[in-house]
Amino acid sequence: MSGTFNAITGWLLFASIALSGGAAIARAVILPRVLKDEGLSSEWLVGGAARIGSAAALVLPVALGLFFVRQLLEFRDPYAPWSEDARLLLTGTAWGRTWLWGVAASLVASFAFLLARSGRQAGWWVAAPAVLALGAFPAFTGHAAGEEELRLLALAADTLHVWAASGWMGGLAVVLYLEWRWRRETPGGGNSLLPRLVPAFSPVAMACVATLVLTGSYAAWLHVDSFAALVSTVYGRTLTLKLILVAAVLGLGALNFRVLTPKLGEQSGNDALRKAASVELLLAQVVLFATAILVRTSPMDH
Amino acid sequence: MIRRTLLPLTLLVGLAAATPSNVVDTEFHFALSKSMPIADSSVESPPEIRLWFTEVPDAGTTSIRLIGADEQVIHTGDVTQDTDDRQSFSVALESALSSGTYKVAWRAMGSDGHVVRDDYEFTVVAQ
Repeated sequence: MSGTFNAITGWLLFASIALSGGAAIARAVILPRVLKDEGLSSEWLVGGAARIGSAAALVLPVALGLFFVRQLLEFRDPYAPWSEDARLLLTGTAWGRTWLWGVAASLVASFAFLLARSGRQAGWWVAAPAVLALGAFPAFTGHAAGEEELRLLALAADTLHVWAASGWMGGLAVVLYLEWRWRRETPGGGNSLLPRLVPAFSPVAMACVATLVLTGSYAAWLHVDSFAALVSTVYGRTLTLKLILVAAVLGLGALNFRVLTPKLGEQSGNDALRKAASVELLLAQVVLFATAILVRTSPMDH
Repeated sequence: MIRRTLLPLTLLVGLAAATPSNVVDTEFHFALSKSMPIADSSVESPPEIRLWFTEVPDAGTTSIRLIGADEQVIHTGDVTQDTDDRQSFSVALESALSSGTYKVAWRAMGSDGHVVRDDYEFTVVAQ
């Protein structure tokens, strides 16, 4: 049960970081590339990204609260008062100090996304650095922080990994949300925004996937001693499971890009891509869940 | 659509159900390497309890509790880190222990947030 609570807490945190970060990346990189016309304005697109970002950012403080509870339960000294352990964890450890700046960044991001949602451009300028800073949170509270050699490189690689996951997964969430909202608000509901959104999203997604593969491979090299360790240790087996899931998501992404994207514009092509992209996003949540288990499992390479 | 979403959801539920509850407690790279008194040993009353870890724990997270046969915590000095060997921590005993079995319960946290804890017993024999 505690393992399930650990994994769900981790998934909630990673998903909210990825979604809020993805909204900021979509605002900065994807949406400016979308072809506009009289029926589709930048304000409408950016407003949709702000809605996704604010919803995810409001979950962030809750997820971080659960993350703290999880750590405190593990840290607990049964012979000391709870308040003493909580104070020690928060103020006396690197983990606690990182958590405190994570909470501060999540509150700033929540407020900034609400500003952005109300149409104020300044909200984006505050939200983007706050969620990018939160992208470093898993690195500074995870295995990378425990590295004795190449620590800075490990921290940078893990942070890049989270940013890339945010661009891909969060960007896809924004695309699907805008598509859903467009179909709901457009009379008749038959129109699709995907023919305009997908060409803007695909290059960003490919760059993110390439970064994920590079940084993920580096982390695997750092934490797994040998190929045999991929099956002989709990960490290795969890990593293998994650790699299988990632392969499934990438396979689906490749199918979307190579087979379904060329059919965009046709009703059947739009429908097929919408469904396949939704499954891709759901499968990505399973990958995040596996990652949440992975980061709580200790490698055997030290 | 329902069939398509069923696969990821099934995977997610399956993964949640299969999540081992002990992944946090096993296979640590950060662990206890040795202790004094040694686990399950019989010794005369020691002047201190000393632990050695495989890595330097995060500052201030090490806890060492000495527990008597009646499950009561025996008061000791504060946990101190060895100035020469930073992986070694100890608590000084304020008085000699009487004969009997004692438990040492310890906890520490690595710089990556992993918490390790365990306990072991030793027996004090009459001098």
